Amino acid sequence: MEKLLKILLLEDSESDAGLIQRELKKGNLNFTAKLVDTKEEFENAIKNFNPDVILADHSLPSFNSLGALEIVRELKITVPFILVTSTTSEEITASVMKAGAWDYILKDRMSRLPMAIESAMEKWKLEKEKEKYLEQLTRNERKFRGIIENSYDIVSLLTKNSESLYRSPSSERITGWTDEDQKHGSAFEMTHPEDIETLKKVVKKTYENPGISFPVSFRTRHKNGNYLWIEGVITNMLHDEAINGIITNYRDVTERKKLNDLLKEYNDRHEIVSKATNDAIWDWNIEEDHEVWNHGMESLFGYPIREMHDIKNWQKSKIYPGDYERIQQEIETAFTEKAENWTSRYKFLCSSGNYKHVLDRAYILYNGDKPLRMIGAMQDITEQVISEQMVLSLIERYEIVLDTIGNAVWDWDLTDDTTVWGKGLSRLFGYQVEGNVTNTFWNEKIHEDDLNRILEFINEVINDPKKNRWEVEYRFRKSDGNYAFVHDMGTVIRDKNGKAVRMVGSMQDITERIRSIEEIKKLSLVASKISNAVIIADQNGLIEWVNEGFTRLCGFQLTEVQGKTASFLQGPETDRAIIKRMSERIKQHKFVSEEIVNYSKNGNKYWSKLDITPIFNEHNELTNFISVQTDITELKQFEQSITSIARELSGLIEYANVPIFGIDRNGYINEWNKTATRLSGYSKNEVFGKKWINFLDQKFHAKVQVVLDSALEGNSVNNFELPFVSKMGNQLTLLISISTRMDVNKKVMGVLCVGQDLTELIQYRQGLEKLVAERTQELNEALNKEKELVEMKSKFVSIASHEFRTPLSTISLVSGFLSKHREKLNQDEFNLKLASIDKQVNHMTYLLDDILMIGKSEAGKIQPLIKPVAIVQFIQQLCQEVEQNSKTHTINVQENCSITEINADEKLLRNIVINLLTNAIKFSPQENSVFVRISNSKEYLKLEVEDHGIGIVKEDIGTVFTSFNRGSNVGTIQGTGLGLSIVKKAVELLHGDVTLTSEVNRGTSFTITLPLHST
Amino acid sequence: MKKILLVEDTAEVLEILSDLLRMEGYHIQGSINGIDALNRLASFFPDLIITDLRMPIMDGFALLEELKKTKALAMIPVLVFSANATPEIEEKSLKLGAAGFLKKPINTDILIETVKTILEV
Repeated sequence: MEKLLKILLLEDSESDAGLIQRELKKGNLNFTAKLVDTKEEFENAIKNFNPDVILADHSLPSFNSLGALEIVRELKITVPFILVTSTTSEEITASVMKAGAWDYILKDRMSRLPMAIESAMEKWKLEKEKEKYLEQLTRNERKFRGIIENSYDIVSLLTKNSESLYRSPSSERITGWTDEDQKHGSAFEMTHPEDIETLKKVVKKTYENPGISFPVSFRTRHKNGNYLWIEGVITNMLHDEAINGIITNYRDVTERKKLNDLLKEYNDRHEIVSKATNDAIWDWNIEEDHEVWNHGMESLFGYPIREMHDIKNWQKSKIYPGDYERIQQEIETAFTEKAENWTSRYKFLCSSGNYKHVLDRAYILYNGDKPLRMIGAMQDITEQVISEQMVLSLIERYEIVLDTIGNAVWDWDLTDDTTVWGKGLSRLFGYQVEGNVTNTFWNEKIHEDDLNRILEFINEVINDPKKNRWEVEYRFRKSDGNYAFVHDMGTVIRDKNGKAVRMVGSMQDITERIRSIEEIKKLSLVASKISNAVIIADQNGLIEWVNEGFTRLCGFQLTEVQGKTASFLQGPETDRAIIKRMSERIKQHKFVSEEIVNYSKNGNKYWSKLDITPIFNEHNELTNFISVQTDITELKQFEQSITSIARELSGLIEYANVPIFGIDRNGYINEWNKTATRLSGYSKNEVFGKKWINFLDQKFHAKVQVVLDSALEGNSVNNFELPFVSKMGNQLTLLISISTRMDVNKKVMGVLCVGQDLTELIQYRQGLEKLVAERTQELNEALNKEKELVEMKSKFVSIASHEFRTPLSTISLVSGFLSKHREKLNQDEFNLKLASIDKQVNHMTYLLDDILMIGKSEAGKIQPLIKPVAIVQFIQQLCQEVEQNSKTHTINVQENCSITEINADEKLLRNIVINLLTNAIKFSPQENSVFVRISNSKEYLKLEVEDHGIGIVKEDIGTVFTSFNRGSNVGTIQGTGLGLSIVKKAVELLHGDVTLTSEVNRGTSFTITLPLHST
Repeated sequence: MKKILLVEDTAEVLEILSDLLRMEGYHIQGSINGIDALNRLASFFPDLIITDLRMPIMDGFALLEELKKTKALAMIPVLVFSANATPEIEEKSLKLGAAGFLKKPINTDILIETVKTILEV
């Protein structure tokens, strides 16, 4: 730009002014600026500075842009006036634009300023050229005006009473009335009633001001009844005698009026601000084939503003070839149908070579049937179209996907309340629809109980610009009349003002799911109560429900986890390999059972036994996963401690200093420690998996098998001695203890044998055993003797105490009696009592003799005094003595002896005979006699003593000769148990023999044999 | 005159006991075992029975049991004495209905005192 551009800057803020100048410099403008901020300065500057362009802030302390524009208009300044403002009020902007501003720039978009100035200057130049052109045209026209006017205008001459004197021929052509018709009344008769007053006023003015022409505008009735708009001038020429009338000059302006009204309506309807600033407005004069554009032509498409001719060609060069034919046809159709409006979308070529999508809306003016002009506005809708296309392609893709997965996809145009349905509608619900259907189709199918809720909900979403996506569930009637539960999801598409224009979405039949959820709910009642943690997830693993046990175990509430995957339970120690394995199985819809580390909400680690079961519906489609978790932390800890114990144990076993080996249930070796290897010579590898029994000598097999079987039944075996031949051929003896190995269920798994090498020990023991046996024998003998003595002692104590008590009792009573009643007794009575004391003392002396006798004989202290004894006489004497002492029995003696004397000890003989006789009497209390037989052989004397008493029980016969032993059937018969013992000792001392035969309750017979010549 | 039946298998003891109690002014009859005593009781109804425990044929315990079987005899107090005087024996005697228990050898004064006490109750 070579010419220096003079810019008048109406701006009160110096910083803004600076900013503006900086922007202009940035735009490489060659300019000089004058800054003003009051009305006076502005007026002065207009006149003296003579600016090329005016940049005005809207609001100044004492002035504003509207005032500035007024001054510009008054002074008939035509330079571009650009509003540079910080206001975003469209009202103010619109009023300033209406008042004549060329353009407006927002202060925060100042970068557009240089371009705006340049384009304004371009436009100004064009305006100037156009003005020049129009001026020239006007001049040319004036030449022909009379003719043109005559041909088109109505010229009439009226009298001062408004009576028609003359009217041009055009009058009939335009109004339809003939001269004849006109003669019947005044001009006012044809005037529209609303306009009569105005017209009369003008006419009155005319009369008052002769020679001056007054413009007039009114409606007059055509002969066909329609009103025509008439415009013209009235001139009072009554004073001119040559004319003496009132001249009217009218023109039919109906079409123009109509156009003005239309434009007005158009302006009102479509916010003129955006149109004036953004849209490209064109005015196509069809007849004259030229077109005028506003600045939008440049700002939108980058073409300089100029008048264009040969419009059809111009259109062809600019409209996208794919659209051109259609547009031409649409326009032709509009013309043919005499349509007043025309709207279309197409692509329009920009100067940059790109196409822009435009929405073109135009009004068509006709002259009769002939289109005269088209005035239209083109709006850049490229972004809108692109986003719409994106949405459409998205919807298409979405529809394909959803259709294939069995959803019913819909596309609801809110502007005409129609819906296009996808194929899913017929597949899911059985309805066949084609193309757009009114939305009533959908409303009617909703269950009446759900309808209001759904409609209210959707309306709420539509009216709330912040909401775009919605989901509802309701019952939808299928073509067979049954209701399906549906899940309906929609997305609202809004225009740039946030108004909902369209909704797309999909309906899913969830009847099965609802049903299964209901079933699950029933199950969950149970599940909620069980202590395990239960999760129910959908087929994608998103949690739908958890039970109370889950909350207890993991700490999460249902609301916290719903819709998530359960992966939040995992943590640093969770085994990734297990997770991977689980996911693979879940992907294959297989049952999962794992033990895994999980974490509760508060971060506590726990071991979980996790079972995941996929759930299928009747069509064998996966619907849910149910996971059950059991807290096995304690079990795991136990297991781990057991494992460590086991590890320790196996170490102990392996390195123990004794042979240890294990045998499984089937007799195969499954453990073999180092010592076992060393002792046996067989390595672990040689014995593992082989039968233990095969390493043993054949002859032990049966015995070992019995022991092993017993151990496998759970009985531990201790110290089982086992001969064994090592691999090297050494003979070994092992002492083995076998314990049972059980699994956790107490099932016997095998046995563990712990051995001890006894080989050396055995050899030593064998020597030792002999020694011990000898010693033991000795000890046993001594012990038995000792035992006998102890037994004898206790028997002596008990028998002696009893046997002495009775005589003592008697003595005590008698002595008591004597001391009490001494004086009352005579001498005889007194002696008798003393004699009874003597008798008891004698009895006790016998008892003591017996005891001493035994004592002596036991101690081996009796030395028999052998001398000749007159044996027959001796025995008979003793028999008499015993018989005298007994008050009950007689003694029958049979003597058949060839000898009279034997060599023997008298005392011992007496012991023998007295004891046998007193026993015979004592043990036959029911009888009154005992029998004695004496005989002899060459060498022996034979003495038999027989009674018919109680006899001796067979079992007691072996022990009757033992001291203090008494027969078990003696009852209350008194005795010390010494008698027979004394007999036997005495017989033995005399080198004789004693035998007995006896039968219970029949009697006993003792036979004594004594050598005739004892030494 | 109070009547006493003495049951004792040892003749010497029976004799001296009878003498002692007669001197105290009681009418005494003697038996040498339980059976003998029961036979005697058919014709002789004593105010007191004094018996040894250890006797042939029928001992003192058996006698006590037999006495309990007949209502009239069960009322007669029984004084028991024994050479084998363990606490168990004494307890058993008292359980079987004995009114008193004396140990052999018998102290004359204690015997007379005991008999007197039982009979005067």
